[in-house]
Amino acid sequence: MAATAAGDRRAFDELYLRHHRSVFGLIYRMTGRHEVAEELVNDVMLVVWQKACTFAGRSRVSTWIMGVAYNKALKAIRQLSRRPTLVEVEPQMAVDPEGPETDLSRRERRERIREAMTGLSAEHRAAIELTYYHGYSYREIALIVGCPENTVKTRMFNARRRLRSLLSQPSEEPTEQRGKSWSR
Amino acid sequence: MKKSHERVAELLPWMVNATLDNSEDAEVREHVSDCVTCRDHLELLAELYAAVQEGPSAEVDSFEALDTMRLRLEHDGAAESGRARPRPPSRLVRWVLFAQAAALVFALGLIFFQRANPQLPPTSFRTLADTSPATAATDPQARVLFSEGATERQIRELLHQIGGRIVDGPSEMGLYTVELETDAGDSATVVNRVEALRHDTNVRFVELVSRGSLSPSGG
Ligand SMILES: [Zn+2]
Repeated sequence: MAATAAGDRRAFDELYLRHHRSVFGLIYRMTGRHEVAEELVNDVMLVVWQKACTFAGRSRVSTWIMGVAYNKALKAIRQLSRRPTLVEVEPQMAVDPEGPETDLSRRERRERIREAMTGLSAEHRAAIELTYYHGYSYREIALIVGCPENTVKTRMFNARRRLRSLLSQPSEEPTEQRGKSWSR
Repeated sequence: MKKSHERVAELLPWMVNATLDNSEDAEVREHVSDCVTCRDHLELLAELYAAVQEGPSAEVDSFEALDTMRLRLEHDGAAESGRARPRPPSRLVRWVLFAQAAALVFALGLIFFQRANPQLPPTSFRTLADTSPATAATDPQARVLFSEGATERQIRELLHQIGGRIVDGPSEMGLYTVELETDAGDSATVVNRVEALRHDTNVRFVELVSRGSLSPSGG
């Protein structure tokens, strides 16, 4: 990181390759658009290259970079000025298609959750992605999104509540799992 | 109990991804064992975790994206504005730059005569020129990322062919530093060997570097 700050292009290349996938993943999951993520990821990396010398080292490099990515993605979503269309979920080939029946209903349930997530705000969805796709703690997420830790906790709690209510709404194809007490 | 429930309910998401500190984790576990509501929430969060993990992930090539990025940094004047410019090259380095430029023209000619390689846009050469202070050092080095499928034997044979040996690595990114056994002043040979590496199917990424006194050690 220090070398990147000093203008070392090779160090930057390595930094780029180390973080590219995560940055792309966050923007892609937040915006739901491949081409937007592709473009924004290099906007993020340009900021990293230009501002590396201002990086104070108070946090991990990854949280700083993800913070830049988060803000770029939010801005893009607002510019697109409509709810991002999450990419169609492909069938999960990893699951044994001849597995027990419970596998099927479990898959359906997860699919419904992913569908419901598209109804969340970008901030709520980002909090969930940062926690469950990227594995960050609430303290790290606070650094990334630039708000107090308690706000992150509240935001995540509200996201969960909203998700529950979305899941309790009837969908086109009923599943046997509907009765499950998600809307408690 | 009520206070604890509220606090724990907010911490639950991070119990699932195992990032709570020890005392938080202990508090959550103790409370959850007695609270049906929190257990119910945990169940949803575990499903959410699985749903997110299994969600669609886009195929993306970081190396290709890096190529685009390099192009942008070189064409975009903004790349250098707002940050300190590197020191101007010394006379020796300028001479080497000139020599290398000549070598690049030669190498380019060779490649055009040999075959058109779609994987090798002209920008790759600009990247080479960019790190040119590196070739001022007496022992030219390249950083190489071998393909995942490459066997040790294939790598050894490849290195033998180009007269290189691994002197460092792998880095966190899996990059090896390969020293090229060649005469210091002979930049045409160096460039050709790097090109040979670049064209090899067992190599994903190669870049000419060195521990030259002008370039800070990477890391
Ligand atoms: Zn509780």
